[in-house]
Amino acid sequence: MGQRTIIPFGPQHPVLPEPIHLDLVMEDEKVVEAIPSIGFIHRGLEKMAEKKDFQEMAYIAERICGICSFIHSMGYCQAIEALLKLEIPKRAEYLRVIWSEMSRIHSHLLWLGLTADAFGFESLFMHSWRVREKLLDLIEETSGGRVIFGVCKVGGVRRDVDAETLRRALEALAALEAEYREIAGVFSRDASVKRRMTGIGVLPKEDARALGAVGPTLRGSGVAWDARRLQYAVYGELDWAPITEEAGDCQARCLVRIREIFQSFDLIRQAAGKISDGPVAVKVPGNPRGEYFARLEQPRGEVVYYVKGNGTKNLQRFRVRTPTFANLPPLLKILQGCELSDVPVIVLTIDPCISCAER
Amino acid sequence: MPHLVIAKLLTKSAARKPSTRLYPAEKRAPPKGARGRLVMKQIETCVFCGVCGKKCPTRAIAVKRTDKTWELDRLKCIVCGECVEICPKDCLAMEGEHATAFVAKKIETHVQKPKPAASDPT
Ligand code: SF4
Ligand code: SF4
Repeated sequence: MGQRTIIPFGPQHPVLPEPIHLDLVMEDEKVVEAIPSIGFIHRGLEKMAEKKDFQEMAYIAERICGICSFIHSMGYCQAIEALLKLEIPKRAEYLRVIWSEMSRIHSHLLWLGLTADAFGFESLFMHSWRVREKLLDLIEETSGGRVIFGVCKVGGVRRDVDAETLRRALEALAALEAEYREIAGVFSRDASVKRRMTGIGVLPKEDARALGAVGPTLRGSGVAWDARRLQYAVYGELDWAPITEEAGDCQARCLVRIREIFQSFDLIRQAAGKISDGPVAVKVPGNPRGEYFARLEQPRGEVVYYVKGNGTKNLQRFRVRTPTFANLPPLLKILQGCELSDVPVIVLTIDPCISCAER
Repeated sequence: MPHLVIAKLLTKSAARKPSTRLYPAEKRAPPKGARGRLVMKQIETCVFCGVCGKKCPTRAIAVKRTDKTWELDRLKCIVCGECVEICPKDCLAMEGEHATAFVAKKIETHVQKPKPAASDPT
């Protein structure tokens, strides 16, 4: 046995957009074990539910994460709507799906850029973000906000998208898809990208299941589970299937996300084709009482929302199990035995969102 | 394995004009409906009902009926637009352009001028 050393990784590290700390126990260049510590950006957002009106909480839920913001508020609203036994208008459901898919594309593009940056492919990083910027413009045009959409509320959505704006958005999305195709080609075919990702950080299918991986981390290991299959909102009316890759390595997780972006473009088109006219919100009757778990698929994986109301305007308990939290145990597993130089790329392939994980 | 797959993308991008803008010399016009910043459009019509302040999720607005003042703490405002939607007198508006950065905390105060004394019986 060689001599063991501990190398600290994070909380400040060039590849980490957010702070997490790993103690890497090394034997020469190999990682033997990774010991995590989290808690650098805990903000106590769950506790705020006890002080804030349950309708205002939608804004706070949205701020749990700056990237998958929309789906956070959607999850919260779905949970509260279930407690209130509130059926929201079809049009609102469709708009929610359109915005969630836009948010998925923007999150995945952000991830592609960060990953390219992690293995030192600067120009690919810039190009991914160039395309993402145009998508942010579309989000702003339809919802009014670029990153924090601010459109989801208990009982529906806060603004309607008129037919003309929707048509223009679809046109712009089609152009964007063509631009994205070129970037996707680089990620899936380029030799230098492959060398950094193929065969690195393999998470076998059984481990992915046993350790409770979610999202692209799970699907990259060949498990066809996607929380959208629960058919919340109008996912049951759209034609799609979870995307999986068998290899379980970094490349597989990357390919899942690449293909999911195409799928999201398609889902937006389908939803826009099926959307019907009508109101976008209903009145909220009274206060929530009871408990509910809502499960949704975020760009990073399955998120679970737990709410407990006691019939007053403040919730008694609000709890979020975010995808990054579930993906940390698989991450620690795949870090075992990898090379030190691969650590940044492996950490990024679970798409860590520490703000989410700590709330 | 194919090398330099990005070459095509790079050639195209070299022939194109830059994707970035020379901010702040060159500014982007915000799209219609963008939520940039909240403005008090017309304090003259405000009736100081205070609904905007009650509806505001961050309590960024303070309305004082006695002094006829309407105050906004811009650093608290999350530009959600709830107040604009609720105002019965249509005094508030949302502009697409973002508020600029601050160097110090301050409260923006709007005071309604006293009405001209035309109906004053004395
Ligand atoms: S809601 Fe409108 S009228 Fe009432 S206090 Fe606010 S700005 Fe004035
Ligand atoms: S825009 Fe929203 S946060 Fe800002 S003052 Fe109005 S209600 Fe409050």
